[in-house]
Amino acid sequence: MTKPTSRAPVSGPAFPGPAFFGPGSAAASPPFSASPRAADTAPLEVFEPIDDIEIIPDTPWVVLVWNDPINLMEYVTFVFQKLFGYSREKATRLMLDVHEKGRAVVSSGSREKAELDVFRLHEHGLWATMQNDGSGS
Amino acid sequence: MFNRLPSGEFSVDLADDLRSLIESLLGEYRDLLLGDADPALRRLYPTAYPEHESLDEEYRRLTHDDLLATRLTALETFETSLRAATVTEDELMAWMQSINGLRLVLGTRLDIGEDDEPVPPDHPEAGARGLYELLTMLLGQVLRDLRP
Repeated sequence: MTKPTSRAPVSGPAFPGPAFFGPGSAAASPPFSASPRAADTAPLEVFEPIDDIEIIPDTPWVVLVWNDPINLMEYVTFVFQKLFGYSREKATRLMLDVHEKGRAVVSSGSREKAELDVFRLHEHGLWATMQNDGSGS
Repeated sequence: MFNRLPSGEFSVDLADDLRSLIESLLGEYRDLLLGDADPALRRLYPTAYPEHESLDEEYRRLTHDDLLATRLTALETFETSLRAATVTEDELMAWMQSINGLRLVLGTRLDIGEDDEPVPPDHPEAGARGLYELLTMLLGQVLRDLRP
C-alpha cells in the first residue's frame, strides 16, 4: 500500500493524449496459482477415489486481505470500516497488519459468509482470499 | 475540494479541465471493462480460493458479472454527477470506487511497486504516471473529505 501524496503530478503533460491504457507490460502471472489441497483434507478411509471432487472441511473459514502496492492505506482503512462496521482504531490496526505483515485476517465464519465478505472486498478492489481456518494463517 | 454541507451533500470544487480529463478517463475505463479480458484488469477480479481450484472457478463464474455490474453502476453515477456543483454522499462513494478502479488498472499497466522512484519528464511513461499520481491525489482528497 502507499500513502497518498498531496502534490499534483509534476511529470508529464496534463493531457498526455488518448490511449492512457494502451498496451503495457503488466506482469503475466496471476498473484496466486491455485493448487488443490489433497492429503490433509481427505477422509481417512476412501473406498473409491474420485478425482474431480474436492473435500471441503466443515471448519470455519477466514478472509484474508493481502498487501498490494496500489491500494492506499487510507482507502483500505475506510473500506474495512464501511464493510465490517469496524471502529477506526480496529480498521487502522488491520490495515497496518496488512501493510507490515503482508496480510491480515479481516473476518471469519461459514463458507457462505466468508465468500460474501470476499466478494464485497473484491467489489472495492481489495486483494482478498479465503481459506479454511488453521490452514496457513 | 469536497466540502460537506449542512444538508449532508458535498460541494465540489474541481476545475473544468480536470472534470473533462476525468470524463475521458472514465470513457476508457468503461471500454476496458466491457472489452476482451485484459491483463490490466486482473486486480479487479482476484482469486478468492487460492487453495481450491474448482471452488475458485465456481466463484469466478458466479461473481464476475456482478463485479462488473457494480463497477459500471459506480462509473455511471460518477459520470452523471461529474459536472454537478454538489454531490450526495452515495455519489461521492461512487467517485471513490471508480477512482480506485482506475488506479488499479493504470497501476497494473504501469507495474507500480512499493516506493517507486519518480520517472523523468521525458520518460515514455511520464504522462501515464502523472495521471496515476493525479488519481492518487484525488482519491486521498475524497477519503479525507468523506470522513465525518
